[in-house]
Amino acid sequence: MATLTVDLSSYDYANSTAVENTTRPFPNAFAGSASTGDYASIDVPDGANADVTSYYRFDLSALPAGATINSVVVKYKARISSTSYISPRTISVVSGTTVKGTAQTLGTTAADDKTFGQITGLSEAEVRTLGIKLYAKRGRSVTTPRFIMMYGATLTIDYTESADRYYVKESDDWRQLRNPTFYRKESGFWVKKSGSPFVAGVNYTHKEER
Amino acid sequence: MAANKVVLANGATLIDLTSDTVAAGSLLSGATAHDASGAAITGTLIVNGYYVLSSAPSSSLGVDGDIAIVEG
Repeated sequence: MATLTVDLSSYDYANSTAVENTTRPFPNAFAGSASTGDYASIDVPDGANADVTSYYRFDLSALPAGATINSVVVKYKARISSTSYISPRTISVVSGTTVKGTAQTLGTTAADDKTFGQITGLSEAEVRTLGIKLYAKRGRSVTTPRFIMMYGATLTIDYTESADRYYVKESDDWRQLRNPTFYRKESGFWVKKSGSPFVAGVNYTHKEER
Repeated sequence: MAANKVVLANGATLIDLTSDTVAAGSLLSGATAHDASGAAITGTLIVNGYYVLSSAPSSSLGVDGDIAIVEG
């Protein structure tokens, strides 16, 4: 068993509706922990029933390929400027855009390292797209500024490494292959192999597809 | 009898294999040569290729013995 802790590393513009606040831009939430002082400001648009959705992503590049995920714990620090006429106002853990675990309601105070508790039953693929979703919606038509303050979040993954790991050396660096499937060409046909297809005593040289 | 060096009567060296490093294991399978002792050898080195791909290999790719690794 091993653990990996990572911070937010990117803002998911493609799935989000928020307009970046230039004074408190989205990357402010990448500061490195769930207990940082600086924050990103996510404005709730004016108007009746206007809402805003924001997604942040974690950097999972350090998670070994083929890992079995035992559990994940996400800690965060976030709050909303006012709860008046804002409902729902939630923060949740998502895989892609699917909520995992239970969403929590944002309050006007932000405690360090609030947690969603342990989340289990996630696959490696689901973990690789984990992120944080922030959502807020106005009630009746109001124009009073409302905004979410996102300070940061950390993801801790408890996992077990795959027994079979394969690496290729590329540009002087070893890179672990992600979920490799092996084929060997036999009598002119590519045959799928379980496990390593390499034959002892045979030398292999890298070839490029043409 | 294998010969690995031939020196002419005038002292000039016609051929000298004594410092050659070729060996059966470093010579491609089926190729022939003479090693440093002058003995004829047949190569035993087998070299195949491997590809790292993002989808299943096409039938025209590679030769028998080659490996394709497809990342999922």
